[in-house]
Amino acid sequence: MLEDNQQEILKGVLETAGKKSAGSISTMIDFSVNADVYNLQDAFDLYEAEMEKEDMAFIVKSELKEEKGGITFFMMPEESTRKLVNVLLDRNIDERFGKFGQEEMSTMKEVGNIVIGNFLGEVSDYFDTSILHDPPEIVHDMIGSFFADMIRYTQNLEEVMIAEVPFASEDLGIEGRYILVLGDDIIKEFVDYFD
Amino acid sequence: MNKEEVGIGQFKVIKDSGELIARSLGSCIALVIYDRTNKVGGMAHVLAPEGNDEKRLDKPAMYPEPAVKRLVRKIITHGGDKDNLEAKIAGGAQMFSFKSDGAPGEKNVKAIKKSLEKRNIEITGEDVGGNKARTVKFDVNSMSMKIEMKI
Repeated sequence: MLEDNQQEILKGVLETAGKKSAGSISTMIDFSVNADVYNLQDAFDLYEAEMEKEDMAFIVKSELKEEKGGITFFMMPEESTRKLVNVLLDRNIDERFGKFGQEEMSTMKEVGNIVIGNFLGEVSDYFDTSILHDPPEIVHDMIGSFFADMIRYTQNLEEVMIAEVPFASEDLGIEGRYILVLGDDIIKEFVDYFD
Repeated sequence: MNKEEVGIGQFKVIKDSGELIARSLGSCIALVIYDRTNKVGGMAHVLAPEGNDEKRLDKPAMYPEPAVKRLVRKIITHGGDKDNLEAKIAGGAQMFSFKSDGAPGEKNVKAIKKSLEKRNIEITGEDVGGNKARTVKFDVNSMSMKIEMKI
């Protein structure tokens, strides 16, 4: 596990990575970013309240390559996604459209792929390593079911470190977050780097 | 009507009337066991097919076998008869795939069915699998299960 001062440094790294990565979604949107890092026995206590949420969100998930272990999620509530897609597809930001069709889903998947790649690239650069990820999967579903699946995933890990990086544009009413679940090997790599 | 939320790893039993609700089930399973004659029903919100039951003592229904065992015991203490018990299950979707654990929803369903079979509890209804989350509601008065999906 990381010491408190190491966690503070990691938070700074993640905030920078989150800021740059969110900026890559659209240079026209100024996102504010705040990171938190948690050392946990398991992720239950952190997300218990979220596990029953029926609100819909878009979640892009990508596992880190096997040798590192871990998983990263990019999550945006449905309303924020609607606005972001409108901005990216050059529509009026508040335009209402019915179901999220292929065009909207592809846009979000591409956004997820880019931001996850940029986010991990920034973190990799800082730690002088290479954190690669698998091709992303995207789902549009209830927030609670996603958290339950994530917690089940963390049960297989000896140590659980979760980095949460929320980002928001208050002007546009767009918000989202990255959640990075770090596996045992990558935690060790970070610890070694700080040592 | 009395409505009781059943969170992950929890189980609850109601006698006579009321509704039990498990929200946002992905690969999790809502397991309902009931005794129609004595009007007792219970629900467990099961997370994973197997795991360390001692790790989370405050979540006694995380895994199928302890969930079934504890639910049956509690139904009997509320006046249920073990020879009258029937079950319904819902959930077990595959939202994401994880390299480390294959198809957890499917494994969850199999593990629950095995635990029920061991106790000769017949499954009278099921809605499992797929790739969408469900919210499951069980009405103890009518012994009926309602499933909501947001598409």
